[in-house]
Amino acid sequence: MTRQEILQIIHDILRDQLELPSMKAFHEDARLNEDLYMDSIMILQLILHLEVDMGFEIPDEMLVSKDFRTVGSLADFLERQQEPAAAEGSK
Amino acid sequence: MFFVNDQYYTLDDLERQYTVFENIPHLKDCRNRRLAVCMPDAFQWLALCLFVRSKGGSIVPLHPSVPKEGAIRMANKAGSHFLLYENIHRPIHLSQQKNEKEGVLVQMSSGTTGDPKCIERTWESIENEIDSYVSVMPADNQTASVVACPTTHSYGLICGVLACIRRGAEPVILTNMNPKYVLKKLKEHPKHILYGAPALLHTLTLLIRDGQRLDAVMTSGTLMPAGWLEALKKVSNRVLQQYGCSEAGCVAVHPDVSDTREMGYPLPHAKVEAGSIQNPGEILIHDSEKTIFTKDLGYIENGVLSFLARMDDTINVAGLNVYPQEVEDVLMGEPRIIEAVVYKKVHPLSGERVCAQYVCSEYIEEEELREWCRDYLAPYQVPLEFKKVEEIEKLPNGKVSRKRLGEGVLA
Repeated sequence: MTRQEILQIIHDILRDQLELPSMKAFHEDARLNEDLYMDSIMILQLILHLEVDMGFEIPDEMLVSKDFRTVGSLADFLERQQEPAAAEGSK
Repeated sequence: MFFVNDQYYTLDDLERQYTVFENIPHLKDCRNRRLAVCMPDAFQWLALCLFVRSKGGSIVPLHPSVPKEGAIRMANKAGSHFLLYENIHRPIHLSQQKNEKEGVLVQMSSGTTGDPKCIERTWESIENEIDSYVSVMPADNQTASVVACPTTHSYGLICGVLACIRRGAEPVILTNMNPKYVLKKLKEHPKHILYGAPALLHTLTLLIRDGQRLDAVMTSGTLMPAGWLEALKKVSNRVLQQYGCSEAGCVAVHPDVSDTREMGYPLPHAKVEAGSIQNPGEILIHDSEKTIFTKDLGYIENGVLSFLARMDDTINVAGLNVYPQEVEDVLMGEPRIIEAVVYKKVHPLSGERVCAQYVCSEYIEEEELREWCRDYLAPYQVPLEFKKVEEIEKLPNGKVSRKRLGEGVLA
């Protein structure tokens, strides 16, 4: 999945599943907390949709809050998550 | 002693930390002083809390996500002498004024109605609560309390951490936001009692895989929708629920919940009074010093305390009581409804009326919703006004204020 596709998926979850009223502020550099007004419960919901509906494998390690700081950093994180799978596929 | 995420801290680690505190003048002499504490590091926070308690000082815990200006405002409101913000060495001095009482834990009450207020509890009253709580808890010294809720609030701090230490077990404090990490930790501690809020517990039930089971799970804070409880019970050996308030701490525990409204058996240290099933009344808590009016409506039947609604939320429709939760459960039973909240609006002529806001996955005709409600509810319980919204407005603490939603006047 390309980075652009990942950004689109994040956008769609926030708009359609979480129905964030702050979507006007959506941008790669938008901060989840300060700009999109997401609280910890919404982050939980986002993780849930990414894993259950979109098939991203969220690791069961501690997440670094830096990765969940902006839309862009979250996309980077998700891009890294699919690397091992992509490597396996190319074997 | 305890874990914070993956890190294990021994009693020696704790004592080393105490030595550090003893060498800091403003901490060494904290007796009769009031400290507000906002610390990102959960170990440091807990060590400070235990240290100040042993010194007879007072503590005002602030959630680590509170920004600096907010922390100063809250610390001032609570009468703190100084604030430790992210750092124990550089206190922010606030006040020199003497408070009436020290040796207390100060909690901000949730303030579902109106402004949050500061509630002071002596360490002694907290000790009594812990003794009483541990005496009824069906858990031994091999069962770890996994605390996946803030340890700056009574629920996580007193019932999660302190009560676990008291029964000789080692609490596991989780501060990471990843629900899958919580599931992994639960697997590592197969004999556990998990402390969480309904939203987290629900997320875990949706993410749990490969036949993993939760051992014991405690819920508290807000009523869990009936469907969530049912799903949680399917993946857990036992679901418990507890009830309390900031003034008295936990006063009732249910060791095995099947009805989300059942808060359980009153604890030995508190006398709890409420109405009967035919005639529900305000839940009153008598402890050794005072009587607390909870403004919660409930009843006691066969020794079990049940919670119906916040009294301010109960809707009086021409003399008949409507409990919002009951109507919300029916609405949320409609497959397309994701979330619903029921509240009252006051009509100048006809008095209180039932109103509902809902979030749905696809469009629903209002008439269909009414039909649905009519199948499950008495006519006076069916909402007069339905409002489809993108999101249900919540207070900063995540709770819905039915009072705030109902502030509009019916057209």
